[in-house]
Amino acid sequence: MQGLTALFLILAPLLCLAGEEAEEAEEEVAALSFGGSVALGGGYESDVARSQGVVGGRLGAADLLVDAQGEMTLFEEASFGASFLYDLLPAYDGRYTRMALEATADWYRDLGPVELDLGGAGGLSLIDRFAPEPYFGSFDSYAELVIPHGETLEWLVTLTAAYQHGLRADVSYLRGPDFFLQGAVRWYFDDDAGTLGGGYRAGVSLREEAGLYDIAGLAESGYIALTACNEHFEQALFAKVSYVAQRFSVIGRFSAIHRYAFAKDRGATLAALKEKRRIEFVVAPSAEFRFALTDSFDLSAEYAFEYTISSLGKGDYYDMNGPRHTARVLATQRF
Amino acid sequence: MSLFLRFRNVLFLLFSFPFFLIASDADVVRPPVTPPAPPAADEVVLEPAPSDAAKDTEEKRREERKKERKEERKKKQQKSGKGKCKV
Repeated sequence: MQGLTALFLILAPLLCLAGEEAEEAEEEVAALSFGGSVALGGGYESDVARSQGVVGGRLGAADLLVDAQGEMTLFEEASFGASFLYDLLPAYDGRYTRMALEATADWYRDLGPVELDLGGAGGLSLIDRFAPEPYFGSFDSYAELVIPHGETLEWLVTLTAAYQHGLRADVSYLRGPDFFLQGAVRWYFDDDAGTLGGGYRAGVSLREEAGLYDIAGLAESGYIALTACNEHFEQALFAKVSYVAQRFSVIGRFSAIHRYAFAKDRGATLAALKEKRRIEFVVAPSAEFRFALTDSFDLSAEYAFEYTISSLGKGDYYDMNGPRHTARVLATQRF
Repeated sequence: MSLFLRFRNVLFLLFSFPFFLIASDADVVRPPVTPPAPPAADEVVLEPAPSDAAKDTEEKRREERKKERKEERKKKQQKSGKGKCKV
């Protein structure tokens, strides 16, 4: 009996420690969470030739989309994710079908009066349905400062830096960085069911010059030489409004973008040599409707309109002017 | 005769009156001064901790920001290419 008592006295502190460790282990498990989604859908784009940089060709085309992503969150502060996107474009024999693989890392910290978000993403894009090959690699990073102002208002200051590296020969000119600074304000109304936000973004996008054979079909259309500047200043005003009413939610977006190239483009045919600076103004409103069938499954439909007014028009090596309509439906399962 | 000398009795009364008041006040029996009793433990809330609702709101907003960033990244991946970046 004395032996049992002695054993109990020796083991009791260990049992207590074990109990505490078990509790800590439970907290660690609670601090680790997983999430993700799989989405399947399709859509239609009215000017696929222009978006793929092809002279002539068909105007509109449909696509099918598979989008899967997963994320692991540690201690509610750091999260690591991976995503896969397959955008099947049957037009042009599937030559412009896209696949994208991406890894992301985000870190969040509540600093009391302000919140800080930092993150980065590295991605690889592949192209061509039947013979997929690396198209370009990219890296994006951001630092965002969130400054709450009362209970319903917050200011956001975001600095982004990105780099893109064209891998296939025809996009080898797509190499260079982007730097942007953004200021935005967001107002949460109606008990957070509604959000209204807007802001201003400005920065530079720097890519190498493009040549004659970087635009499919240009040489065949009579051009003998081209030097196109791919370095430009960009500024944009944007706004977003969203409202959730039970299972139904609606999102409206609007942006007005202005781009100004740092140098003039030079294009030559046998008859003439033309020099013109590319200046663009783009207006892009869109609307999205979502319906949550269950807490983890929803259907969405989005329509986006984009109208570009460009200094490069008819008579130049490429007509950038015109509207573009994009419609898409998507079924998303989250886990 | 200077003004001071003419009204010296009046001035004496004016200056001495406060001392008279102080002296008379010293005789008053005061109740003992005791510091206010501390409130009960469950009533003391110096810095209220954020409520569960506030935490939920903060988390929800953070999730919303994350979701927006993901959507932006996805659109960029999907759109980026020669036609979109071509200047």
